[in-house]
Amino acid sequence: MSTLTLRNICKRYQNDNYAVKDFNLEISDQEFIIFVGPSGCGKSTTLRMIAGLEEISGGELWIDGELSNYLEPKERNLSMVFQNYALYPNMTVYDNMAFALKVRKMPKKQIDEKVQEAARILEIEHLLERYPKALSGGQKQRVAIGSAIVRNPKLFLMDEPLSNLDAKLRAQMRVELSKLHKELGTTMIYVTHDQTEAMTLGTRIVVMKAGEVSQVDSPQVLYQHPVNKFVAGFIGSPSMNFLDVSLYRGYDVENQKTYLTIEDHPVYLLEKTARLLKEKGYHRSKVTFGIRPEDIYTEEGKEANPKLEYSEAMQVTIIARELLGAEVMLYFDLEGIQFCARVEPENQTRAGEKLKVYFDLNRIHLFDMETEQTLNL
Amino acid sequence: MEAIHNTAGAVNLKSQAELDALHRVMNAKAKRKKNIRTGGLLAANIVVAIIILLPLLYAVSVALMPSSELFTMDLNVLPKQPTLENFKNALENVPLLKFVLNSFVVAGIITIGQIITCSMAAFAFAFLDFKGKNVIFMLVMATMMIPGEATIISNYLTVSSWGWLDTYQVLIVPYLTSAMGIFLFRQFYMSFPISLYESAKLDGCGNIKFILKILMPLTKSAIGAMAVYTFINAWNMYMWPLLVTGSEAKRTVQIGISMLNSVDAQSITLMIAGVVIIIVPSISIFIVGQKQLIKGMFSGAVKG
Ligand SMILES: Nc1ncnc2c1ncn2[C@@H]1O[C@H](COP(=O)(O)OP(=O)(O)OP(=O)(O)O)[C@@H](O)[C@H]1O
Ligand SMILES: [Mg+2]
Repeated sequence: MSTLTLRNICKRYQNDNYAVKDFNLEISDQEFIIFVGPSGCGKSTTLRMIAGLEEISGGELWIDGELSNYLEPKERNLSMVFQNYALYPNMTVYDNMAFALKVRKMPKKQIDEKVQEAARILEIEHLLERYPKALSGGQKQRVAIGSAIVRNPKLFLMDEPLSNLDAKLRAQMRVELSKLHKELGTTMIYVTHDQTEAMTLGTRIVVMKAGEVSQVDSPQVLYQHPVNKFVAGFIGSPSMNFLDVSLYRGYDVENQKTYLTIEDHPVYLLEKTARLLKEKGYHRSKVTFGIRPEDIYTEEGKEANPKLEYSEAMQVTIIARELLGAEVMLYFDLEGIQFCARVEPENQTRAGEKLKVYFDLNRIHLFDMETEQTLNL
Repeated sequence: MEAIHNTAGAVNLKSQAELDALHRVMNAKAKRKKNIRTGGLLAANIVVAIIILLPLLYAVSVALMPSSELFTMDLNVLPKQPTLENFKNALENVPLLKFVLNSFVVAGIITIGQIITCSMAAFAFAFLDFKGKNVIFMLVMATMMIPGEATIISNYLTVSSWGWLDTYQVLIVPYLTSAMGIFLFRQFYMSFPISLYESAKLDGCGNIKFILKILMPLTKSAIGAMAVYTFINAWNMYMWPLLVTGSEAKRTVQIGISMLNSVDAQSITLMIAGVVIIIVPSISIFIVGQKQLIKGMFSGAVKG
């Protein structure tokens, strides 16, 4: 059982600017929270403040309803897995895992049970007598996780634990972490750079930018309804296509529709989108238009998904084609900005050829040019 | 395809007997080469060892000579009538054993003290964050630039005003820490990932426990080197003990030796016998320490 509340948490290093500013987050029991954001945005700092390794400059940290700003790291009863594993090189794997328990003066027999149990879960029983330098990266990682779980901490903190592993091992460890989380049911906070890790592991993702939280939500919501241009661009790979466009409301004489123009072609917005824009007072103005690569369809794609609502056809010239195994990426320019579309692998369009593309109108995103906030939300 | 078959065939053509013969020949060749190399290395080592040990061995040989034998015109490398008379005289003239004991006590306590204080100070400089850390470290380093001779008189006045003259503590206390040791340990600790310390903190391990359980075992080699270096330095102290000790009861061995000199200026053999006596503990410490040193250096690298 553990809940965590961060209220207006701030961090300043020696009179510097804020490394973390007004961080607010409620974490309930058994959640798997992911911190993502560009390098230097304060993810590690926040994690270290929760762990007690870094002093909190402002705000409150509540662990299980107890104000914990001033508790020593060991009193907070949480475990942290570091990027470089932080195994004690002078101890065997067994002693590494037992160390925290020995320090707490737990009886030998109980320690042995716990270590064996953790070793079983992580499948490292055969490595217990080895020293850390005789382990591979993935094995070290497991041992580090093992040392973390033997203590039954309230909370697991992990700072990019998989970033030293190769892609295959990483995928494997990802699955195991997910399994582990289900098995242990401990609340976890996990820092990563990796999109896939964030999307697959997290129950909720915290997107940070320059020390501030941009959005906190489940991976699906975050992906489909980003609150601003930064989140829209940061989540998803390849990232969303953006283009500054002009918005016209009701100027279309025939059907009074709201539309925007891309290369002088009108893209008529859906009724609900138009209404939202109207409510927010966007009339005849410039906005940023955004669409994800997979929401751009070709003729065949459109026919395969007849239920969706599409924009009018737009003629584009393909400038590059990338085959990524199960899918094909097509690149083209609109108003001088490069767009990327993810299309079905049967598509044979070559560079230089012309192609008709359609936008899924339910999946277009519009942002204010100044504030970069999402308008159609 | 053809070519591959052909070469494979060529290898297969050799019968078992031929193969065995080939193995023998090649093996003998490799062995001979190896033997020559080891022999050469051994010879070179012996030559160098003899050159280095020559003065020492000569000292032992002189210590065994009656003094009449030394003052002749011909070169006496080995004693013609070996005698233990010199050793006996040396021990009788001055209480050498007492001096050796004093030196042992003083150097031993200094060594242990320096290892404790230096590792703790270095830990603070390497792992803790506090105001003025860098300034304090600079100050510590700056003390290394002041020659000991410059402060010896004021130190003398200080300890004499405390009434410490001619005691053990006056020999020990001023040397209980050293900037050099702090610097050495700090450099070692800086190469440690800080997350090791943070991890230990989360594990509920306090600073002292961290030093004892993690840092010390991992810096065995540094501690070994530091211990040997400090012990020998302390053993060889001369100016300070000469200044602050008066009675024979507190004198250290280096001063004891010079007392042999003043008792009978002519007796070089006597003095050398004294030197040989006091050099034995010094060398044995080095040998023991060296073993420890090597063990320390390899304990991290070798499994088990
Ligand atoms: N000890 C420190 N002293 C001063 N500034 C620091 C310190 N540690 C971190 N910072 C600053 O705080 C900001 C946040 O750093 P933090 O380590 O939390 O970033 P991060 O999000 O973890 O980045 P990355 O993804 O690269 O690990 C950075 O601008 C960094 O320069
Ligand atoms: Mg970081």
